[in-house]
Amino acid sequence: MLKKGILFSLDAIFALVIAGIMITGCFFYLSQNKVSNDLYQISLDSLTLLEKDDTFANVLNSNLSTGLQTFLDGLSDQYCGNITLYSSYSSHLYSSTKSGCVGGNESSVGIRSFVYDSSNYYAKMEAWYK
Amino acid sequence: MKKGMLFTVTTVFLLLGVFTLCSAFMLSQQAYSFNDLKYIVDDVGDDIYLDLMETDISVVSGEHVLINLDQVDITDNRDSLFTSYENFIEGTYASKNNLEIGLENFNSTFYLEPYGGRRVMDGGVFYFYTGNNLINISIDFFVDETLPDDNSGQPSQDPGGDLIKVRFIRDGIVLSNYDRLQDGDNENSEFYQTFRDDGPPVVHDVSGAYVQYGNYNGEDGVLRVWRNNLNANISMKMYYSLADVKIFGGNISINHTGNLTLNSNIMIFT
Repeated sequence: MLKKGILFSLDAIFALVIAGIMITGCFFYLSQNKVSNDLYQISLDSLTLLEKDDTFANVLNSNLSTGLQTFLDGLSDQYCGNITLYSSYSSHLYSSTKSGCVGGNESSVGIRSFVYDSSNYYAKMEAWYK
Repeated sequence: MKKGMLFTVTTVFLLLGVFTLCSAFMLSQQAYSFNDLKYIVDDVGDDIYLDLMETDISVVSGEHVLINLDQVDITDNRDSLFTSYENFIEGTYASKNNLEIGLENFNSTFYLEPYGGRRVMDGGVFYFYTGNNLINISIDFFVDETLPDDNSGQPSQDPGGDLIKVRFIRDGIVLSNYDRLQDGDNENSEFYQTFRDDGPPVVHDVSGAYVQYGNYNGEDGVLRVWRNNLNANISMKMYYSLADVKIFGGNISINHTGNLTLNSNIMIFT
């Protein structure tokens, strides 16, 4: 009788612990997802801005990624980012990473297409917290 | 009683954990929200007609609507560029975004609503089907390195028709200036201006431009513009009597894992 009671209690405790771990894990995952969404929006906004102000066109025209570097270095301190320009066939053309930033943290990636001189390109921005 | 209560509580907690896990999994599968798809529509369609046609389109709305087409290329429909862009978007771009994207009726034709107008390029001829509510059209040809000759003309006047103005301009000087009222339902003659080489001994017509407005192939109010060897920067202005114009091209459809879809016209001006 005593053994049965102990076994049942342990079983209940295990169940509660497992349920607790599952719930905690889900909330952790969802909070990470929100951070990822924020970074995703920052990536999209940045790429839109860089297309509209002709930074991408200037990089392709000048063969210099200075414009990308200047933009990334101007991001708020808490953000890190990397921007890469690709041809329509996914050939890597130009890339810049914000000074003082290294990868490793959880990041989010945004993509934007653009046309320059009748050819198709896309830009990819990876953003993460410092 | 206590055992039953404990069993119920643990079951509730376990089920809660399972439901939360399912919810998190569903959210992870729906990586795209509807707003994210709208961003994709904006990315794919925004300014794409202007970029591929290298034509500036602007609209001034007031009592009337003025539609400006600048840098109009009347020799090339650029459909190969549209096809290339469509392949890029439906292929590489869609793959990188983990989406299914389709572009339909994506070519250099665009439409004007509520006028029922459209612009079409075909065989080196620029067609503008003006639709309803047109007041007048002005076309300027900015030419260089050419000499006008006497081989020019304009159609006869149609009182009560739509006003069509055509000018040829070089270095800011108007070489010729035509304006005629033209019935949109008549098969009218064309405005034309040719240019010559400077000889001697024989002077030849070397280039020319032609504008015609009226009924064409059974449709009224069709503006046709074509040229012969003439290098010209062409600007067109169309005045309409109804405000709130919407200019759009083909259609884009986006599908994410079968349960989130978006279909939209590619807007040029709204």
